[in-house]
Amino acid sequence: MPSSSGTSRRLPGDADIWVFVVGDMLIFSAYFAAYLFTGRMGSRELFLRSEQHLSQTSGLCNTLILLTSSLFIALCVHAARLGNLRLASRFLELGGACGVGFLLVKVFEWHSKLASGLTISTNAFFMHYYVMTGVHVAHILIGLTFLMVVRRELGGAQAPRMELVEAGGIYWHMVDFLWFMIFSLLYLMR
Amino acid sequence: MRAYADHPLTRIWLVLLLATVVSWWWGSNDTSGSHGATMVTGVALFTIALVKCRLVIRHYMEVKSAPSWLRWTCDAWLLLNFGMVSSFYWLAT
Amino acid sequence: MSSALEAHPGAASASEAVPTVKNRKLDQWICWWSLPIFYNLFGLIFVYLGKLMPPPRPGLTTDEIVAFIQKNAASMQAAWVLLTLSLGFASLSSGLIIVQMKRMTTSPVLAYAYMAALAVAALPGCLLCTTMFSLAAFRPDRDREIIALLYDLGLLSFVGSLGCFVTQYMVFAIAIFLDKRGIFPKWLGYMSIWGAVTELVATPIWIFRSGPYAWNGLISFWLGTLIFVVWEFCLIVSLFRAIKQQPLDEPGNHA
Repeated sequence: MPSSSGTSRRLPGDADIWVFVVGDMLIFSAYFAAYLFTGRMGSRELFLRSEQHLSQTSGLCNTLILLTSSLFIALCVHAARLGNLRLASRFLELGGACGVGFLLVKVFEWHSKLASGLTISTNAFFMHYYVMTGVHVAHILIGLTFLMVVRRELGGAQAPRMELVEAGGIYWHMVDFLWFMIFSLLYLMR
Repeated sequence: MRAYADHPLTRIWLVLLLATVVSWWWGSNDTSGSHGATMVTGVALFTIALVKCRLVIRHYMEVKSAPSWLRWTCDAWLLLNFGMVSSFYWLAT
Repeated sequence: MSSALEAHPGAASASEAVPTVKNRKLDQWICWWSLPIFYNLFGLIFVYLGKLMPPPRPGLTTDEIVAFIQKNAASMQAAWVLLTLSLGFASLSSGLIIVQMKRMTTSPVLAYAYMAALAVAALPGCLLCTTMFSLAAFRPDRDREIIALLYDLGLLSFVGSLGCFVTQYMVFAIAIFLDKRGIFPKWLGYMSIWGAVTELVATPIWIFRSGPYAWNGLISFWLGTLIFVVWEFCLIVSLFRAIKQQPLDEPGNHA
């Protein structure tokens, strides 16, 4: 556990992954800005009406699944650091399974929207909805790929490189907290 | 695995869970007036999301014990988003 | 006799005639220079002369499109002539990147995939739009609807040529991550993933005529272009460093 007194400061992962993560955070802020601009300054009534069509329950499920996956990945890194590689692998698999669960719920949600005739070109709100959730799903897929690489690292013959394990975890957590913001902006805030 | 039930990381998870359910309950029950949530509710809900983000960043991503440039960058990003949301909500009233 | 042997130890290396430091990599430096030159030219062509970056808003009527082209006919004609002549230089930079990718510990298959992806991407990404715009600029006597169609074709292929570039970025990223020699820095690989995702976010331009996801939109165009420019800049710098750090006596470094 990192010391909360902050006597020893170390960079988790490596500098490269933080370039990636911070850049991605800024890019997503651009998407949020575009959404807020359209929604608040232009089409508030439209956004309000359209938001009613989103299933907040579905959003809630997704959020709970993803934050649980983050717990598993954090525990995985912790276990790996202590040398308990079998346990770390189990945690990683659980985290990855949650990630897949997120995808399933998302696909189900999209399907039900599309079945009701709400497509990307229905209106401005749904344009943002599909693009933002779509880009987020792309990030989940990248994250799952990353987790598979970490899994391979944990199960390898040699001792796992902790920077790689941490980097995979860092990326996954980013995907998680970006979802918190999407959930709040699209599903909850009216 | 059961040893982790009382781990600090698990406690953070419980807080995240709680914060999520609270914000969801608040967001789904607030249908006051034809314009939905007021500015206060909107910004408050987003703030809960930001708090959750910060918890994940500091504890799961271990930024809490990272060099100060990283801590500042992450906090700055959170502030940037808060500023964005507040500005847009305020400008729209 | 040892003296007889000693008479020729330098002969073997002398016959290889190791030239001065720079000469050995001159071929690569020539190719490297094509990058800053070509991309500045690219900027001049598309932004200043061709007037297509930023693109005019989608959804212009036929008359507006024709008027736009007629108004800028002279500079556009200059732009497309320049581009037609200089487009080939992109192959120099591709060659350079591939040579450096082949130095990686990964199989050269990734370098070849990169080359193939770019070769395919150059078609819609540059050549097609050049041809369409040239036609529109040099044939003002054509039917107005045809001119409008050429304009649409050109812009859509320019901004919307996505799949090949996604492949190019991903192949490059994978090669960087798997490379144990660290020819390119890992963060460049991560930035390539941004590039791939921006291509994905550009897909809505086919649908939307306004807003942030249109072909002149804040996200699809402006953010996408920004990320591309930053990536290209980092690539040029990374290539410079890679060539610089390349040992002279590396096998395969001969002209």
